[in-house]
Amino acid sequence: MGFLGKGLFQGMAVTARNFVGSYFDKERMVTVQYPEERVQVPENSRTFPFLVFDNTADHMRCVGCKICEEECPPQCIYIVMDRDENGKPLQRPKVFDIDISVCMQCQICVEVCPFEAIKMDNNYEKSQYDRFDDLVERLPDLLKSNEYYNHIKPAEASAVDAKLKAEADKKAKKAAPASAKAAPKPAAPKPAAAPAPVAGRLVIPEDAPFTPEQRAWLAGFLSSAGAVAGPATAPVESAAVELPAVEEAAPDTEVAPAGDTPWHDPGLAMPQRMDLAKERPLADKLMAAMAQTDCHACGYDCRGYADAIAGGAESDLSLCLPGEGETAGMLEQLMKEAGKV
Amino acid sequence: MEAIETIRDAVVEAVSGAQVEIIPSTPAAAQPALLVDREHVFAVAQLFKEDARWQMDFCSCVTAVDYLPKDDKPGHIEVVYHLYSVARKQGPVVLKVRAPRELEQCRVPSLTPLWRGCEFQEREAYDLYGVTFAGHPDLRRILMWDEFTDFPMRKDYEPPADYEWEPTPHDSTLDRAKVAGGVVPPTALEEKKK
Amino acid sequence: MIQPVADTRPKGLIETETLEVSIGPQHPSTHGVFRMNATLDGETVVALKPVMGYLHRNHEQLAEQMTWLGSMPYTDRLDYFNSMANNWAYALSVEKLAGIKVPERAEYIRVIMTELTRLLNHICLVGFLLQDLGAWGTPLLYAFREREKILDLFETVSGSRMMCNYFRFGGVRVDLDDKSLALAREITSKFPKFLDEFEKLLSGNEVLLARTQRVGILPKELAINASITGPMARASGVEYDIRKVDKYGLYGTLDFRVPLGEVGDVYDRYYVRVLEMRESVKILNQVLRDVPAGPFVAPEVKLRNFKVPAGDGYGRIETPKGELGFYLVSDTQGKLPYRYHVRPPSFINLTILEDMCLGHKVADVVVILGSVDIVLGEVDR
Repeated sequence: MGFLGKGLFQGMAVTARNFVGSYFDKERMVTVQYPEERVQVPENSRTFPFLVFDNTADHMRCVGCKICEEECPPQCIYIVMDRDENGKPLQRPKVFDIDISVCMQCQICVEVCPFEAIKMDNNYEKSQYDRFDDLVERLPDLLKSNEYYNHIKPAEASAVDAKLKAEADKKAKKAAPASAKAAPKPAAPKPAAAPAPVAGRLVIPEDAPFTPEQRAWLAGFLSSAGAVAGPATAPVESAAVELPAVEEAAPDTEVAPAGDTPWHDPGLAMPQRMDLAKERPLADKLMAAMAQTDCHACGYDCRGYADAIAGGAESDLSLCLPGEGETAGMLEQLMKEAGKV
Repeated sequence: MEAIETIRDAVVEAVSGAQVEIIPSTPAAAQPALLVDREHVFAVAQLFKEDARWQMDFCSCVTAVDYLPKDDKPGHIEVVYHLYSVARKQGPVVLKVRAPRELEQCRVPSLTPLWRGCEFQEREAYDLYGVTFAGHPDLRRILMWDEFTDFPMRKDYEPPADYEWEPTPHDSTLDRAKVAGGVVPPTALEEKKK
Repeated sequence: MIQPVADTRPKGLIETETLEVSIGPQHPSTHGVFRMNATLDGETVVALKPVMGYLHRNHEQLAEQMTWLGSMPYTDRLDYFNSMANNWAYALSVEKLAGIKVPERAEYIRVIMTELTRLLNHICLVGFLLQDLGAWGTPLLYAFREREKILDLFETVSGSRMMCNYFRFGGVRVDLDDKSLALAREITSKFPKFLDEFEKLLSGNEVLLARTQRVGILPKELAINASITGPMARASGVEYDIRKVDKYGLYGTLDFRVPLGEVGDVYDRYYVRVLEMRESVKILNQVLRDVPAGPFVAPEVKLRNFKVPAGDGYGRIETPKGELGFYLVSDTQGKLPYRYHVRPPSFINLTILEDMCLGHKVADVVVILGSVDIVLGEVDR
């Protein structure tokens, strides 16, 4: 039984307790004075994607397989594979644009990437003055070092590193008993056009006392601001400069095991691969026509896709994304010759 | 709830002249539907609502689906009703009714007099698919603006070419951009499609 | 069906006219871009026609052009307050179509996330309702303080506060680690105390009682006939909670009650939601007690080239707003949906807005709309 207004007085008591309590109790005083104070975001927090490179910017993990472009729901990624003057794919992207005004931060590109190449950043301060060009992140803006990735997401990055190391060890063990590379690898020529170089501002002076690891991390972190970490020691290079010539094939190239599948080398061109598979059964010839990246764009690895086509389980010949029209055309030709189309 | 065949037989028995067909769903979903002809769907729905066996007093979802003509089968627009019973906690009973795709003939009876909940959903089916519901108290556009003339969710709807400029238009957006900007004639798009 | 209000004043004294006013679409209290064409006789509402479509983003047609998984982030944006619940409705519908079985740990995680979503939706609703009533932000920001804790948990688990994109077909995207589980337990243990304080602030308040009791009454038969679902229907006495009827997920094994109202006015709708929050805390306590170990996603489901057998199906869950259902049709190819339809609770709950508002004043219209609990992302899709 209460007097008239009892509810009101009770309510006011609650408000008063909150008001007074906000001076003492951390629970009640929740305002953060941004931008002077910032809330530490949790590790998993995600905003926009970025591309990871190991050590230097020319060791990016991305091979340009275009799986993320295909799976992206709002279609904000645009990739063009880098090719040499003969048109042979170089297993890295020449153009990689993400339009962050379209990107919905859904993380599906990260989930489907078979090479752990694209990861989510947690930087949310991305405002620009121009709505169109400035909100497109191009390849130099997107490349950030693995050290940066480890810094922002330690648990996730260390799991990824462990997984990649395990895979590399497994490959090395498989290649060790085999003899040296079966097919001679042609030296990859200089790329015809480097991605658009961004003039970097030298923000970190050359005599600043940073260790190479720190410079590496800074290179990645500041690359989005167009900064250059300086010509420090050893192999640290900023992501904002143009990519130097690639002297070796892409880092995920398998050493072709001598014997079974000598054409399984993404560094070989189509005519060379088909030549190596000349006398083989249909399934081997089909496999030689693939792009040899084992990227699982088609849903299988290269061997599996070839076997599925030869066995009749798979009828779609256009699934090889890195191989593009060249592979699809060759597969069609092979199936026609075999009388299976 | 009883098996769908039992329900179908009961319906055919109760509503004379009704042509009721069973359409299966995916094997895992196990929600077969009853396809009823346009003339009798109101009576069948009323049977489901009032008969003590079912007491479907709750119409949960009304959807229209556009099936384009394929091979030699004429296309149709199908309106799907999902009925549940609050009183007996059972369901769903799925009713389907088909209408031809041509606008003047695309008419089905409205079930809004039976279930008030169909009101907005039938308006949406009219707005997006062009299905006219005879007997609907207030059939006008609901999601599109009133002066809009086409029916956007139909499978053969062509969106207008006023795209918003993207910084990196590519593939089909680039083609449409070139046409809209007057760089290439519209026939270039047709050739590309081939 | 809709009876106009009988005009009992003696005629001929003063000539009056009704005034047609558009409440919205830009209005701080219409919960989004929503418009009501109200015909007013003085202050009293004589007719009210809702106009929607200002946030129509073509979600259903977009889904026809994207793979099944690609629509999942878009379902977050349907009812943007309850992204986890939307995700579950869609995942459940596809699992129903394709016959995918969800492992037990994933079911536990799903229930935890959805019940936390229910908590944050209901306190936000109460906060916004009080905001509409004129309590300038105090209960709203107290509610938001609690909501922040839950959103921080969502950010830790899924990466994003609101657009979680956390559920996958056959489970969830990443596992719930121990730190997040401990955080969820902490939130659940502190919530009843907050609710007690909140109720002390509100439930006895004379102004609230005067303004919400006997306002916007919805009779039970009309609620069933108009396909009203969720707390709005339960406040009118309709005993229908999809968690109890369909028993999806773990709800068949959990012990919780379903609060029902008697009168069906705004106060009942508010109080049913407060009671539902207490029941959600009860569910969370049961589920968080021991979450079993195991896989968090069905291993046979592929991320890419995921195909669904041909046919159609309808799956629904009890989101905090009502029954959210997805009617999906898959063609013989199976890679893209042929038809993707969302059955939005907010849209259908607006059917009887006019009935509830007739005879009330304009100020009451805002309160009644607040109690319907609409989110325009869901109404317009």
